[in-house]
Order: sequence, then C-alpha cells, then structure tokens
Amino acid sequence: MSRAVRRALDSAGPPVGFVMLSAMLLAPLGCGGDFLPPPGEVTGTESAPLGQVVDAVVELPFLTVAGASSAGARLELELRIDGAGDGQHPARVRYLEATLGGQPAVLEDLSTGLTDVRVAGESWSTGRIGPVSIEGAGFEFILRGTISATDRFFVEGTSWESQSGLDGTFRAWRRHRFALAGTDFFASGRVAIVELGRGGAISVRNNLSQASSDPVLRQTGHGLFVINRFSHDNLQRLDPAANFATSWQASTGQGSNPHDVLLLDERKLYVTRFEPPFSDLAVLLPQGGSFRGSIPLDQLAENPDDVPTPRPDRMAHAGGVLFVGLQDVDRTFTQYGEAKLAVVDPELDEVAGVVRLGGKSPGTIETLVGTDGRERLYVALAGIFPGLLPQELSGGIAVVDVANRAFERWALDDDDAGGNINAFALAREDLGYAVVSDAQYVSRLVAFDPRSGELRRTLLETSQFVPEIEVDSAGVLAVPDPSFVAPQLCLYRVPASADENEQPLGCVALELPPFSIEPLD
Amino acid sequence: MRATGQRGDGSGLSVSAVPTAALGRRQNGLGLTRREWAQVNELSHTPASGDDRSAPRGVPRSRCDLTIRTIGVLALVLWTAAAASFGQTDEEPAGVAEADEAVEASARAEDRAGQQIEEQIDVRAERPPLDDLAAFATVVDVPRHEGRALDLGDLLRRVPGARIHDYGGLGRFATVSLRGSTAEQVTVLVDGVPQNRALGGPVDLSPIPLGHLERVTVFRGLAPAAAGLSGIGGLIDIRTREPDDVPTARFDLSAGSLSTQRFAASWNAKPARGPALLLTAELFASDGDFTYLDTNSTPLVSTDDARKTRVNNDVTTRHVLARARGDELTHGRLELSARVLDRDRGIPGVDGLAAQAARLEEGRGDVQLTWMPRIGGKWDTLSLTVDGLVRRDELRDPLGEVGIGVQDQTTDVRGGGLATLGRLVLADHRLLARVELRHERVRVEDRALTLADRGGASRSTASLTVEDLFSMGRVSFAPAARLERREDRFTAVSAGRLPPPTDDVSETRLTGKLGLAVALGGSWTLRGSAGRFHRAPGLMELFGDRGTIAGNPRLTPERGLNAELGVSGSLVFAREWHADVELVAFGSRVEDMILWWPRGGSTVVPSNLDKARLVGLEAWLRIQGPGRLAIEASATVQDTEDISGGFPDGQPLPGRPEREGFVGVHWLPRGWDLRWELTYVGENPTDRFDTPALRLPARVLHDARIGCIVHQSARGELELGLEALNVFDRETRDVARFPLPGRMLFLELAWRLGGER
Repeated sequence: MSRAVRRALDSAGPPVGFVMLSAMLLAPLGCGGDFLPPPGEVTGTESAPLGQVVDAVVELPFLTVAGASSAGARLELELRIDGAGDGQHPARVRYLEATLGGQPAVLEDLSTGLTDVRVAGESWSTGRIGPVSIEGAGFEFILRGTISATDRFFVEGTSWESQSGLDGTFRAWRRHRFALAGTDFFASGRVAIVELGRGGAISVRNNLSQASSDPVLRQTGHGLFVINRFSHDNLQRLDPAANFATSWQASTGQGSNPHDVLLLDERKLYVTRFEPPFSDLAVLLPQGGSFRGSIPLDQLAENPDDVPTPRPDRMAHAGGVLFVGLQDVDRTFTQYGEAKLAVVDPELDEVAGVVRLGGKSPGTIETLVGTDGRERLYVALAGIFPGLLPQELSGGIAVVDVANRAFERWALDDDDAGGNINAFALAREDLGYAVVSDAQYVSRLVAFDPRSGELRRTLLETSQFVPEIEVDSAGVLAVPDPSFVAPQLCLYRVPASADENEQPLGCVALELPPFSIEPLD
Repeated sequence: MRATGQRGDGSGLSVSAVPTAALGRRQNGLGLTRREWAQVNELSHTPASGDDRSAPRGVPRSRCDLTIRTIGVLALVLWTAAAASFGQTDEEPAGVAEADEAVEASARAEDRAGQQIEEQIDVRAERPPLDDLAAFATVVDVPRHEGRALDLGDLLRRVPGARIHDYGGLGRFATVSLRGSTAEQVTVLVDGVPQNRALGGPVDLSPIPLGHLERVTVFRGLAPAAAGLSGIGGLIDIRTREPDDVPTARFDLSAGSLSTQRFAASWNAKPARGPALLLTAELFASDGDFTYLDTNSTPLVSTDDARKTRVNNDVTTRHVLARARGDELTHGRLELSARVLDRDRGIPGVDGLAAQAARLEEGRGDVQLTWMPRIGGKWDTLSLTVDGLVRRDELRDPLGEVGIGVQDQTTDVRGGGLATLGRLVLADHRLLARVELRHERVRVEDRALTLADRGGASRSTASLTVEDLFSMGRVSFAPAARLERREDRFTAVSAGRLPPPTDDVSETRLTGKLGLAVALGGSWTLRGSAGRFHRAPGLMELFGDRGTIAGNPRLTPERGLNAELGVSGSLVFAREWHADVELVAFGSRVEDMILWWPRGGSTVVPSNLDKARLVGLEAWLRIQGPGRLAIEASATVQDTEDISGGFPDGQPLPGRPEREGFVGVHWLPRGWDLRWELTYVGENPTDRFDTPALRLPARVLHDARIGCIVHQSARGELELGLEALNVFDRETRDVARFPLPGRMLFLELAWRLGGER
C-alpha cells in the first residue's frame, strides 16, 4: 500500500477508511439478489378440452397423377382432435408421408392444417382435409367411417377425393395415451405422455409440465389435472392444446393436502381436502381454480380423534351424485373408523347420505355399468399397511350399487388376494386387475374376476412400489414401474376372453419414476 | 498457553505457526529426534487456511475515539447500507461476476508467490489435538468472534468447501456439508467426542454456542488418523475453551432484531493450589418472527405471493460449560469437562405450510474426563479419554403439521466411549495408535400412539487406527489405516409387534489413507492425500422408525474414495504485507449412498442406490496489512454429478452450488473493531433433475460489525458493538422452502475483567 493511501486512511479516521475499503470490495461484488419464486410457467389461457390423436392411412387406388408409373395414392396423416365423444370437434392435420404408385412422393401441405371431426354414435367422419400437394398435384378429401364394435380405437371407412371425385378407403387408429406424473421422491415432479400408436410403437414425451414431488394425475370431465398433495397443497390444470403445459395453478389452502379432483361441469370443480381442519369437499371454479365454497364432511368421521378427521380421498360421479371415499382415520394414523362413502348432492352441495363399506382405508373408485344395466362403484379398501400398525387385511374391493346407494358384495377379498389392495383397475365386468402388497411389501399384479372374487393369474411380482395401474377404454393395461435404476411404463393388451393371458405390448423408459397414471380416453 | 510474537514492523500482528517453513529448512531429510519430530508435528497441524489470526487477542488495544463526528459517520454508513436495499428486489441474482472476482483474487495471490518470501515464524508451543501432515484444514479461531451475534454455522461459511444449510436463522437448526458431501457424512467432534448420533441424521450446529468455543478445525476432505479416520465427508474438530491460568471474567450481552437476546457469562479461576477452573453459561432467546415471501403454495404463480411473518420460530436455549484442568494431578494432566444444554424451540415447517404448534425440547448432558500422563522414553503423546452422554429429545406435534400424523415422541439416548491415543517415536518413524470403544443406546416412545413404546436400538463400535509418519528426503509420508467392528442391535417391544423384530447387524471394515507432503522450498509445501472412508448406516436406517421408515438391515455403509492435492505457503510483499495462500484440488467418488425409496403404503425404505462424483478447486487467501488490517478470502468451484446409473444419472447433486466464496475485511484501528464480511453462494439445484425453475438463485450476503472499546482500565474494558447481518436485507434461502431472515441489527456489549486485552 502506498504511503499516500495509508496516510489518507489514517487521517480519515476509522469509519471513513472502513467505508472506503468496503466500497472497494462492494463495487465489483455487488449487493446480491433476492430469492424470488421461479418465473411463472403457466399459460394463463383457458384450457382446451382433452382430445384424441388419430393416425390415419388414406388410400385412393384409382387415382392417377401425371408422371406416375402406376395408379394409386396412399397418404398417412395425423389428426389431433380437440374434443371427444359425440359432436363436432375441431382438429389439426399433419401430413406424414405419401406414395404414388407405390413410390414415395413429394408431399406439400397447402392447407390451413385445420379440419373437424364429427362423431355420432358409431359414425365417424371428417370435414374437408387439404388441400395437400402430392408430386405437384393438389388433393382434398373427406373421410367417412364407422368405429369398430370390438375395438373402439379403430375406425374404418371410405375416403372421397373432391378434385377427382374418386373414392377410396381409409383406416384410422386412435392412439392409446396415458398421462404420467413422475417424481424424484425428493423435490420435484414432471408430467409425461406415453402413446401407443399404430403398429405397436410406444413413444414418450417427457417434461411437459412441472409438478411437485407428490403429484397425482386425474382426468375428469374433459380436463386433466395434477393434484400436488402433501405439503404442496395446490391444483394444476393442464392444457392439452398447449402440449399439456399448465394452464393455471391454484392453492387449495395451505396444509389442506388435496387428494382428488372431479370436474362436474364448467361451473364446478370439486377437490377433496384430506387434512384437518379442512376435511371437506372444496368447490372451485374450473376456470382458474378460485374458491367457491366448502362442503364439510367432518360430521361423518367416527374415529376417536378429538378433532374430526374424515380424511376424504377419492371421488366418483355416478347416479347424479358424488361419492366421496372417507378413510376416517385419526391424526396419528393408527385409529380407524369404518370405511364409507359420503354421498353428496351436487345440486345442493350438501351431504345426502352415507354408504358404509366395512373394512378400512378406501382408495381407488371405479364405475362400471354392468350387463344388467346397473351402474356400480368398485371401491378398493386397502386395510392397514404394515408400518405404524401391524398389517391388517380387512377389506378388498367392495361393490356398491349406485341406485340403491348400498354395499352389494365383495369383488375381491384381500384375504384371498393375500395382501393389501394397493391399486386396482377394471377392464370390464368379468376382468379386473389389482396390485396386492404383502407384509414384506412384495407386490403382485393379479388378474381377478370381479363377479366371483376369484383370482385368475399373477402377471408379475416385484419388490418395487406400484402406486397405480390403469386400463383404458380400449383394453390396454398400463403398469408403472417406479424403479430408481430404470423407471418405465409397461403396457399389456387385455385379452378378449378373461381366461386368456394378457399380451405384453412393451415397455417404455421414463425420465422420472412414475407415481400417478391416467388414461387419456 | 500460546506463544505469540511481534512482527518486525511493530504492528503487533502475530503469525501463528507457518510450519511449511520448517519443512523448507529440512531439504535434505527430516531428522528423527524428539525435538525434530516436534517440528514435524508443527508441520502437520496447520497448514492451513486459518481464520483471522492476523488480529490476535494479544494485540494491545486502546479506547476508541467516539466523537460526535464519528458517530455521525457511523450512522451515515448504516443508513447508506440500509437505503441501498430499497428498490432492489428486482435485481438479477448475483452470479458469475461475483464468483469470478473471488477466483481472480486467488489467482492474483498466486502470482505473488514468486516474490521474495520473508519468513516470520511464530511456532505454537501447543500442539493441536488433532494433527495431520498432509490434510488441508481450516482453523477458525473462535474467540476473535466472541460476543458477536453469530452461530457456529455463520462462522463456518468462511471455510472453503463448507456449505451451511441454515433452516431458519440464528439459533435454529443448521448443518454443514464439506466439498459436496451430505451433512450426514461429516463427522463432528466436540473435544474429540463424536457428535454424530448412532440413530442417524446430520449434526445440528446450532446448539453449540460460540462463547464456549476456543477453536474449530475443519478437515475439509480427509479425516486425520488422530480422530480415527472417520468421516466420509471430512471432519470438524470443535474445541471448547480451556481453563486459563489467568483469572478472568467476561460478560456479553446482545440484543436486537426479532426480539433476540443473548447473555453470556464466563468465569475463569486458578486457585494457588488446585486445578484451573472455567465456567461459562449462556442464555439465548429469539422470537424469529421475520417476514418472508410466501408463494401461497403455488410456485408457478406469482400473483398470489404475499409477505408473511414466520410463526412458531422462537427458540430459547440455555448452555452451561464447566471445565477443570489440573496439570500436576495423578502423574500428568487431568481434564474434566461437562456441558449441559436445554433448548426449547418451535418447528415452523416449510414455507407454504407453516406449523403452528410443533415444538422440540432438547436436553443434553455430556461429561468427559481426559488423562494425559507424564511420559518419557519413546512416547511422544499418550492420552486416555472417557466420556458419557445423555440426550432427550421431545418432539410434540399435536396437529400433525410436520410429519405423518400427530407425534408426541421422546427419544432417549445414552452412550459413552473410551478412547486412547498414543504417539510413539521409533527410529525413523513416528507411530500413532488410537483405540476407541463406543456404545450408544436409543429408546423411542411416542405417546400419541396406542402402542407408545416404539422400541430401541443400540450400537457398539470398537476401532483401531494406526498411522506411520516417516520421511524420505523432502517427502514425508503418512499411511494410516482403521479397522472397525460395529455391532447393532435392535430392541423390539411387545414381542411380535411393531417395529418388526430383526436380526442384529454386525460388520468389520477396514479403511485407510495415504498422505504425503513435499517441501518445495521456502514456505511452500505440496501436500496430498487419498483414502477410502465410509459412513455406517444409522440405526434408524437399519431398523426403521415409528412406522414410516422401514428398516433395512441389509444396508451397507456408504463408501467414499477421497483425494486432494494442493499447495500452500506464505509470502511477504511490499514490506508490510503478509499473505498466506492455499490452493487445493479435490475429488471424491461416493458409492452405496443411502436413499430413502418408497415401497408402499406410506413407508419408505433406505437402500444403497446412489452414487456420485465430485471434483473441485478451493482457494484461500489471507492478507495481513499495515494498520492492523486483515483480509481473508476463500473461493470454491466444484462440479458434482450423479453417477448412480439411475434416473438422475448425469445430473448435478441438489444443494451443491458450483461456486461459493467469502471475503472478510477486519480492521482494528485505535480501539475500533471493524469488520465487513461477504458471503457468496452460487445458484444451485434443489431437485434431482436440476429443474431451472426450482434452482435457488445465486446470492451475495453482507454482514458488518462496528465495535469500539468505550472504557478501558487496568481492571478491564467495556466494548460496545453494532452488528448488522444481511445488511442489504436480501430475501434468501439456504435450503429450498426454508426462508431465512432479512436484515438484522444487534447491539452488543462486552465487559471483560482481568486477563490480557
């Protein structure tokens, strides 16, 4: 240090010198930044209804294009339909490849990329598709077909090319799609989509939307939601039209631990709030998730806790009412009341009754209309997993008659199954699948007959935790494998006859261990 | 007692041992007489980056000139600092530029290394309790921070490679990890006794009051043999104050933000005949009710964010430390120490899920007796230590806010150990042998549950550590090995009920390391070590807890291969400036890391699933200048990678910033004590996928202190201080979802009687 500087420091007095020195340091180093929440990753736009993706092959065998060696045109395209069910839905078209006379042809999209798809019962048709240029010749066509009675994901019919007036055929395969919420079981989660396309190809699109480390996916109505549960306390609505980005995120109340969501219509969105003092069914606005009201359920708790803890979990909408599974367990998670379903009248937003189930810990609820025309609920009663208490097999899968709002029978007894029912899915009235966890937490995926409760076969046995399984409406069973080393989703074709074995369709590697799965039907 | 020396410039700054110079003088091989081994000892224990030893306690100080003009300037400084924080909430996070500055500072220091070195050696007469020829260690001289409103964790932020995880501010749970390790992998010793509990979990630094401490030595990479080679993630050796032969008394009072109060009293006596005595006590209380930005549980949306007040974040802590030392008792030196802690604190939970009623009461008692007999012959050192501990943690969570369900849980820990350490000089070798026996028993009861008795577990360990130190020319070697036998036993209750009974677990394991030091000439030394270490699974990981953690008796210890290589030295430049420099490269590969993985229901099971690789560079620089000025800077650059082969493979490890830095300026002019400290923590991931939106932004925090001696007489002195932490009121997090306080101001009063000033 030069004498001059030193003299200056000495003469200036301690504080001034100190400030000078500090300023020398501060100048390059700055004053730091604040912790700020991450920049928003919500679209802020209204979410589109959940749609479908269809792969189609259009064949015009008599079409001749100048220069082509032989007649016949074949065009492969993808239709992304913004909507499902009967009605007219807008769709986006993507042209994949074309051949003329069996030879690959140059393809050019001259259209707006938009069309529409009309569904009425078994009838399936499109608006005008095109124009599209194949080797310089323009085409426009319309598809008219019928949904297969045996495979609801397959459509077959005729194609009509409007420029030439020639008829042809088309076949279309709706993709089997499953949404997955993965988690690192540490701090974060992400949403992915798995698709099973034409020819059995399985593809995955990862990291579509950010989620918490305790995420549960639910498709309800035409909406797809992520419920961020314990300690995260929020709900996300995903927008299928925006590549499943988050449309909005709303708090369900700090400490509420939301467990399920049900979109009744465009006016009401119900959310079960598991933790006391919430212990209710919250009513939210589907557009933005703002709070509209609460339906208290704590009066239905029967466990001995000082604070009523009904622990509302899963929901189903059937017979014009909501059924809400109540786990009825106290705040120590050791004292249980009888498992039950609260019946909620959505018109009045009031509890309209209770269905007693016996057993403990109701979880997954599925609805099915039987061949007898009666609508039934199938409710998994897990009993007590070994942990805080010894393992207790006090349940299975209960069947509830919707019309009578009463327990009907057991579709599967957990004693017969040999463990706690961790997850289950129904393929149809005579075939269901359950994940049964024994006292050592070894899980078995079994096929069973929900009519008789008879176990049919074991599909797999694993020491991995299998949190959920799903069967889509066209009979594809999805089984997540949240392995640390190789997380994946495996798909099986559900057999036409319950006595046959399931056909493995393959597995696809995932970015994150899957924690929740939902078929996008 | 410590010998201090005056530097030639008369500034009064003393330089503690710079042992590398001793090595430098022995370029033709180390002699092996006891005297010369003593020099090697000095070589081995300090290398190292140390704290602001440039401003020692032995410096004569005078009253400060507290005039109206000075007060005005002080007020202006504080006002400027406070005002600077307004309107800056939208600033970009501090990032690359700041870290680069720190690294450049280190580089500039290196450039000066070629300059003429003027040795100023002041060898300590006292050997530190743990020494290591080759390890890189940082010594924090705690009394230089006596009376400050800081926690131990705050002090350790200056240590290169140290990452503090503060969960709530002063007096709250805080842990440390070193060089990217987990906090559980760091061994923490207090007076040589391990603080890591057999039950598992990291060591909480917050209950260790600074007022009780003499020195903290941070072995950043490889634990020394004298400590039993334990600690896959380094070792922190905390030494409490020793009774002095000079009668002294000291009273510290501080009060400030968040209704924080600290009162500490210390009394040191030395009867004419009898042991030297030290009694210190401290009371700390704080409401901890700072404001923070709450996301309303919607991290993706900022429109509903709001400032909230942290609730249930209060803490009241009482500590007592009593020590006695007799130098002529029972044919040697006998030391007895006892520490008692009583702490009651709220558990505020994470942001967005504030806990209103969860509380933790902790009671701890430690007693320790050490005997160092007078020895002769070939024995260099011999010591025998017996210790015992009693702990009781009472966790009350009546609303089930911080865990799975309501808890009314009492965890009782009883334990003790016996350790003997001997150093023997044989021909060309200095041999070290350490034998340690430890036993710890845990019992858990949860009165919230029908079956309240949750069982217990115990751990017994026996270990033998040996080290051989020898030299060949300019190179000294120190191979060391540890053989450990561990037996864990589970005590089931209500036979056949929970937790499920399991077999006992036992294991014998051999670990070791090789260290070397090369005299490069002058004061410069090249040192390096490589070794394999392990962390035994905790009893909770082996046997489970109240039901949500399923035990896994098949767990194997976490294993780590650590290596470090670096140079250190000192130099004098511009005649009046003295610099100590250290530059270290380190790397480690950790395998079989224990990960809690779900297995069904609400249970998780610990498994040896994880694997990681860590490499980095540490730079440390201390400059002592004229006018009692000291500048200390450290910087760490590290790269971590998950190599588990699992889904996070290739990702950086959460909570490990790539860059960290510290700059401190300490100036002691004319009775004043002026400090400015700056801590930089780079952006770091919080999840296993390094999701950009979840990263904690980089930050720079400034702390400042102004103190002055307002009264001084032959009997004592009175010092008044004003401390500002987080001067620019930054919104910060050390750990995701655990907000930390903004700017805090404390008024500090210290009254010292007797002793040297």
